[in-house]
Amino acid sequence: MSYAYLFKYIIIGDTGVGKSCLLLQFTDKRFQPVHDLTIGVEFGARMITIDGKQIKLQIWDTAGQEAFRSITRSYYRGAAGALLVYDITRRETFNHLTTWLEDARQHSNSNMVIMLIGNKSDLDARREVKREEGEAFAREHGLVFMETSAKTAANVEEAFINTAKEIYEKIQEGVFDINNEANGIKIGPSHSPSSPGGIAGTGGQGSSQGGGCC
Amino acid sequence: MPAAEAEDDEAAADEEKSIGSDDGSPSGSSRAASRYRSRLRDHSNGFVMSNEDSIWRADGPGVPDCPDIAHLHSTELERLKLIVIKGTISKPNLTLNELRLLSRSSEGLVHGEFIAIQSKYLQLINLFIVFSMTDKIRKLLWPKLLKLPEKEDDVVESLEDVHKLIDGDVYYQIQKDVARSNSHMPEDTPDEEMEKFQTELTQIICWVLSRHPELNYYQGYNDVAATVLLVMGLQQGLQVLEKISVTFLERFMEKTMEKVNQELFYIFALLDREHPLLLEHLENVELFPHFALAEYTTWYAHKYSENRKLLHRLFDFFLGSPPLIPLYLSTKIVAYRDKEIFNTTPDMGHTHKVLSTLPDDLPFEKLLYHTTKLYQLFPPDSIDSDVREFDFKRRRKEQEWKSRTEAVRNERERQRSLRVARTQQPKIPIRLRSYKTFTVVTILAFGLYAFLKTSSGLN
Repeated sequence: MSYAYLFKYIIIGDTGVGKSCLLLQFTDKRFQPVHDLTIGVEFGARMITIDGKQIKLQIWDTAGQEAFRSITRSYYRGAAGALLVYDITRRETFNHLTTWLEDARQHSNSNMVIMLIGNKSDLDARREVKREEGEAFAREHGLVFMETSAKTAANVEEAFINTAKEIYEKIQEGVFDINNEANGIKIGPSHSPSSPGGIAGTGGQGSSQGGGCC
Repeated sequence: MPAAEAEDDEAAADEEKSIGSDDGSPSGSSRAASRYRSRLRDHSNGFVMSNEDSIWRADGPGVPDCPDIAHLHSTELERLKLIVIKGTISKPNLTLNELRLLSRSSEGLVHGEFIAIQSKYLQLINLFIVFSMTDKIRKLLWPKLLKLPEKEDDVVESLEDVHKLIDGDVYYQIQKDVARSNSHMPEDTPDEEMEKFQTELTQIICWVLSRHPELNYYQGYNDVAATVLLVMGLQQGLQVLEKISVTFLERFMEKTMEKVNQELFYIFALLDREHPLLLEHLENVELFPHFALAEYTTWYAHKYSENRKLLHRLFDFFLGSPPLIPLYLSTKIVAYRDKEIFNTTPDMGHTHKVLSTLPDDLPFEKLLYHTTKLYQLFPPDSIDSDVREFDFKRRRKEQEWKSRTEAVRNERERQRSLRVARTQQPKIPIRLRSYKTFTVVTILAFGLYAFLKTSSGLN
């Protein structure tokens, strides 16, 4: 399926905050109450539409445990967007945000759009982090903020799509150099008249072997 | 089924006589062939071990070598298994090497028994009985494979308090992960039984960690522990998990996974010999070998938690093999799936997804057989330098990337400070203020002059 742009995302945050569930809700529109823990990295993809243009999102979901940091760090490379997730029912996951942010800023490209997500908004009765605190943190660090529930799907679409909108705007403003693949953006084959495969096929891959969907 | 498996074994044995081409995948280059020939000269029989696997050499003088067993025909192997299983487990002349060979060979430690039961009772035996019987045998043989001392009937007490001996954060993490380990139990497990499983799983993990502060808990360790617990039970499982941890898993239990990150490149170094075309493809899509991380660190217990028969058989194999062998199996599986990989959208993400999702119908017995052969052909020390080279390339790429992003960041900072400096210039607030002052003073002066003028005029 052709697309105008491809954006790469990374999902980060403490273990058990619901990163994989957010991805599953976004890509498969379903929720698993007890989701397998993520060892290393997992991958998901979905097509969205912004401004009438097809945009393919490729999303890397990472393990939250500190021990895996040396592995997951490789996936900041070439990410245009990041979802930094905490759990509104566990204060410590909010307290660790600064460390995550430092890690992200250090290993990603400086234009990366970071969306701060307070997940599990359906568990309001067990809430430990106020919405205002999330908003304040986001304001202070120049992030976009949203509370989501991977369980009820509340704001999940918006979280992924708004991040894409931000990236798209940055492209329009000329902030992102779309010809530099390291920025986590690729122009789709349909938008690249000069070379038939575009820069979508990395490393000079022929598109003849391509199969499967997005 | 058993007949088909026996045939498979025979085929495998025949293949052993003409080693060279492997299950249809493009066999290694001439370099590989010459390496193999030199290997063959150096190690004409037995299992080839590397320095790194020294524990596998340290059988000690008490365990005699048995070179002949490596060349036993598959039926003889099955006979040997039957001997082991028919109550002669403590047979004094059964060496550790024999036991390891059994655990690696077709169907692991249970195939012989399976045949015996099938031929004797055939349809009378339902699968559940076979299943539980085979794990009974494992319960006796796994400690032997791990060279654990004969079990004395001493019971480890106060396991319910053992978590107090480990770090609070780690304990919290373990509890969270144990709560996510239910896939090891059948779906219809009653709550009570599930609770017992979770309690014991937490205890077995905490017990090992409390005795080894040098070992760091990692996510996935819970899957290995669950497998051991379900075969061995809690009390006997303690020693088994401890020995597995210090012998095999310690490499995953360092502070970071950096060592594992490097070791995963064994897969690439082996593919370079097994299937260079496929490696070229994987490198073109810029794939890291992280797809095999969970397989390696959990011995497939994360992937196949619901398939106990297969999982326990794989544990037989790994317990009877050197610690790096899971990477050889991963290589064999990747090579086996070459067509599927070539037909996947050629990018990093989709390739990673396909490779990290294992199908349920992989021909494991065949793959395990070829895994052992691959290890004999290219033991770790013969490809170490290539592994380091792959890892060096990765580090260099990451360093380049880091310096590039830093350069971009610095450039942005510079631009920003320039912009700030430029926007500050036209403000000139003092001048503005002095202009105002000048106007006010002039007006006042003019007013005063007018006032004086009028007042003098009045006078």
